[in-house]
Amino acid sequence: MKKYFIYLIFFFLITAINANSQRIYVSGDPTFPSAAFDLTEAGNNFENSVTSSSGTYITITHQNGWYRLFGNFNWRVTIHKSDIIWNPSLELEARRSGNGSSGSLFNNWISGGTNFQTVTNIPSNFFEGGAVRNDVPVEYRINNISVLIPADDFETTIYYTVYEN
Amino acid sequence: MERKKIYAYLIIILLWVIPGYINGQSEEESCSLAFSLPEIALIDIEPAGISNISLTLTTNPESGLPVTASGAVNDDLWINYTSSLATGSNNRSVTVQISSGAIPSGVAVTLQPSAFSGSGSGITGTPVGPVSLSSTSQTLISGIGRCFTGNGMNNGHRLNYSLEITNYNSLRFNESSTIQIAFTLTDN
Repeated sequence: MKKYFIYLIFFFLITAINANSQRIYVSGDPTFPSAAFDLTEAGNNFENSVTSSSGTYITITHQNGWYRLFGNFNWRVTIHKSDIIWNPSLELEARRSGNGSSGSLFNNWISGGTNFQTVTNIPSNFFEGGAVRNDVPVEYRINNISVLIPADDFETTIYYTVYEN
Repeated sequence: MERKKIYAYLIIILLWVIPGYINGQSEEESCSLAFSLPEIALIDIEPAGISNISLTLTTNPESGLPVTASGAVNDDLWINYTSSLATGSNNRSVTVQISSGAIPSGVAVTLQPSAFSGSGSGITGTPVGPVSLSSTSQTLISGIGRCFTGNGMNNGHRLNYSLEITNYNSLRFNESSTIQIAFTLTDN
């Protein structure tokens, strides 16, 4: 009896450790229409803004199978970027362009992030929800594109972080 | 027995405390965003499609007075350009030359671009001065950095053409010629 009690204690201990381990998966790198960066008429500037032609998909899930099944966990996602080659005049924005699909029996909800918001190098809240959420689409927009910015190959890494709410 | 109770209490406390610490746990994933702004050098003459002009000497109705070139001017055309440069690249210039045809003997065609005006922005070029057109490439506008002039008439530099009589003896009655003028936006 005493042995089973100890096993039970360890089971709950491991469960407790795992219980709060949300997982986030990001698939796809955003791409932009190549025509947006190609000028054909002398005298013109680039279009000021360009929206991604393909974005990324975010999945939030849980390490624990019971939590995945019943959805008894809430989360929030933050977004920030880390520049590799970037120009301070360029502004990056992101928005959640859909809800994705729910993946648990209960507590399926998602909120926020549907308007474009500026992505900076400091994390900011993006959207939040409950339970497993699959393939939330994210769209990107770059503003202030101009021939006045030195020509270059720009690159930045966008980080998504999930926290328990 | 007392020791077992202590262990049991300790485990129960841990069960309460550990999730509390793990609540702050987070996980991070990333994606990469990349795009290129290319170097661009575009130039054209506006209004598009009707960039032909005609310069004609004026005969004087009064005998004894000279043929004059005072009316042989034209400022209908504008030059537009867009210039995008990488960091460290040199500024650009607009050069001009006669690419085909020859100017009739006894006259010269002079071209003076106006200073930049219009809806564009950036480091637009500076007119070098009046240029007497020839088949040799000459700088017309210099110091063009990253800029765009705006598209269409009234944007960029107005092109002021004029005809000058350089040698009266060489003028030929009823002589005319068509010349083609090439503008090039070039790296310095």
